[in-house]
Amino acid sequence: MQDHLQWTLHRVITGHGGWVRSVCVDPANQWFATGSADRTIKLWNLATGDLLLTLTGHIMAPRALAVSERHPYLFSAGEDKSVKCWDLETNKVVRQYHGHLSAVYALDIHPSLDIFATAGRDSTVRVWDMRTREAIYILDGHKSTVHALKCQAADPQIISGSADATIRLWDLAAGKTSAVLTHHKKSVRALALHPREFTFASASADNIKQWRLPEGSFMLNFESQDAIFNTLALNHDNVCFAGSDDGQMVFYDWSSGSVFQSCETTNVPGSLDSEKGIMASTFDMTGLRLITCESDKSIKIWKEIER
Amino acid sequence: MSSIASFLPPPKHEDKSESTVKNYSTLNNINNSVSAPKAVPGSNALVPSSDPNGRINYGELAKHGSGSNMAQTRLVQTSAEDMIPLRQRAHIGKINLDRPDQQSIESTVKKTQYALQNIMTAKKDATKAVSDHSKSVKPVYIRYTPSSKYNQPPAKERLVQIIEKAMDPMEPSRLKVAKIPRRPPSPPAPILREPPKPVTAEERANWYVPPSVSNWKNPKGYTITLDKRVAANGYGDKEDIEINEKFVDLSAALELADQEAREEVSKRSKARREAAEQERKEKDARLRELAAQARKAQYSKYSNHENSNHEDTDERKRIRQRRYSDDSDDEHAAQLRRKERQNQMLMAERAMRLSKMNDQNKAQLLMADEDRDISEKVALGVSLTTKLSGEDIFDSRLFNKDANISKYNEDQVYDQPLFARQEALRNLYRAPVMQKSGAVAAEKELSDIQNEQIFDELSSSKAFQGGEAHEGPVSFKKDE
Repeated sequence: MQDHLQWTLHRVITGHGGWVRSVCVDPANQWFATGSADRTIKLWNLATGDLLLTLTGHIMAPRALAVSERHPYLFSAGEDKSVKCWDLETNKVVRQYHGHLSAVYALDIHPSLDIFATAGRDSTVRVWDMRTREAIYILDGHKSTVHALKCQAADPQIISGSADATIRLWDLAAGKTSAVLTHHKKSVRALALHPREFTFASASADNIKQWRLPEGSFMLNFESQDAIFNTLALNHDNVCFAGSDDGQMVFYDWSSGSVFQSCETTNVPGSLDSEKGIMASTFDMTGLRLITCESDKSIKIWKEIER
Repeated sequence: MSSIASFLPPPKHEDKSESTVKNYSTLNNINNSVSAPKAVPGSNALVPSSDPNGRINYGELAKHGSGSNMAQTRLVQTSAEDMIPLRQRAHIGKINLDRPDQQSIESTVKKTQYALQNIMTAKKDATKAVSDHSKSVKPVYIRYTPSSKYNQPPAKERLVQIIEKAMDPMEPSRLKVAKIPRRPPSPPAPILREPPKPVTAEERANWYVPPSVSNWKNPKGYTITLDKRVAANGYGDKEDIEINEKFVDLSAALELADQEAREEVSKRSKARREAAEQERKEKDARLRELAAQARKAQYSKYSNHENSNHEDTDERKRIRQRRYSDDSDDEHAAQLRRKERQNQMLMAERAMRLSKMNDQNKAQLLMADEDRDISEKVALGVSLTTKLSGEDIFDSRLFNKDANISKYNEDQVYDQPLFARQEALRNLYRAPVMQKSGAVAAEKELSDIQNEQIFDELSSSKAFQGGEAHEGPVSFKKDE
């Protein structure tokens, strides 16, 4: 097992008026965006934690955010069935992608093509052409809400995890399922792709499992925890973070799947015990900061303890 | 091996089920008989293949779906080994976790891009189906010579112009678009997790949520027993009412303080009473002293001015004498008064004796006194209360009850509402009481109403009976 440093709370950012449900980091690592149940998307300075911008336009909580590396666009998908493309030069919605029949819960941009995929409560995965606003594919096959979605350049280009306890790997060129992974017992709420290895992890209430691509063979069961994991985050140092619904934070070593740190989030003073819950999380581009979005309406930034 | 085959879920789509069942059976046959089957031409029955080790590839079964090229594209995990983590599998060797190289990624991307572009152009063309009419095709001319028929002169050569028929671009299609039924879904993936454990009775009991019972609403008026009400508050028997110990402390402290305050008050009032007593005594003493002084002074005065007062006493004597002489029958009146006084004394004595007597004797005495026959029962407080023995005790509430007392309902303690009688009395219609009968009463009523004076008229002569009518403000005259 690799030696990992312990993580500690570095900064608490308040400002949202509801559960903070989604987060994404600018590819240039200057700022990050969060979407909250107060129907706003807020952009924050990553270094100082200052509020840069508030984007309003969604009429329900934005549940997924993504910033494109190759465009000045921020994509957001909300519970209001809408998928919006924000131009970050004018801070306005430039495109809307209509088609989802219900809330949209996940969104990811293809790293090398001008397409992105969304998935949601209508149990479909939709692949959109950015420019024409057309749905290229409506990938159906899941039998329940799709909670998590990841895109990558190599096949399988789309991976989706659903509440029917399956993970589907999709063949994007053919628009078909290439494999169905049925090892999980409970709904899959989060996925994380490894930045270097050709592997990914999926979090479910029963276990966090690690898979090898491209065929999706089952690699590893992470040390089991009694929690419902909402989110997974993974950095270059093989630190895998899992945030649970009851505020439990578990840091795993990626290669062994063992826990090297397990703690609870710190409550924001004045919040209830029941408001301890981690909704979304991500590492920044360097992997040295962990941003967690919580149901006590705060955003917390964690860092490693220096030796 | 057959266990894995049974492990696979049966296919859900109906159209394929028959053939798949057939496949299952073929496979089972293979297990039993070693002879290799051969594909029957024209049948879509699956022919099992085996790997070099001689093990039958059951993956075929799960891959055998509707899509023609599905077997090539789809990765299906069918073996029990797929449930074991990769590193723990036997003969796995070194696991390669490297990402595909840049070249292969690029080729994948290119391939994908090409496929997606095709789809997009197809979609775009579909939207452009209504062709550009402006770009009309030029007419085509064809030289046409009809074939000469037998025994007839050869026909003339004709020039045929072919033009496109003008069509209304907005006209709905004449072709009926039949909806193509959906392709049957691909066969379900083998489930590689253990089936859910059956719920134990204990678990079920833990998850049992009692039906909601409101303490405020019960529109259908169901009888709800107390235990249901208690269970409905969500805690059930688990609710442990814990009263903070500090409540005990508080009440003890309050009691102590109260006691102290009372003691203090009583002490203070006692002191005050004593002081008052003292003061009174002092005052009395002073008054007595004053009186004594005064008496002394008077005495000394008398002794001093005996002579001067002589006239005065004489006068008093004279007055007394005159009064006695005035009333000739004074003596008689005095006698009467004396008698009266005696009488009253006797009466008072008797009353006192009566008050000391017991009820029975008193009643007897009164009876004898007034010559009236008063039965024991009527005389108040005289009757001897008969002692009731066990069987004679009845609850008067039970007298007017039906026989079905066995249907005792703990939620309905009272058989009658508490204030029902009053309510009934209030709602009872009572005719207005009329002393006089019929027309006379009606006439009186009418006249009463007509003559009723609502406002007192000050100016009217009626207001000042005996006075005269006047104009302007009332002026008063001084009485001589």
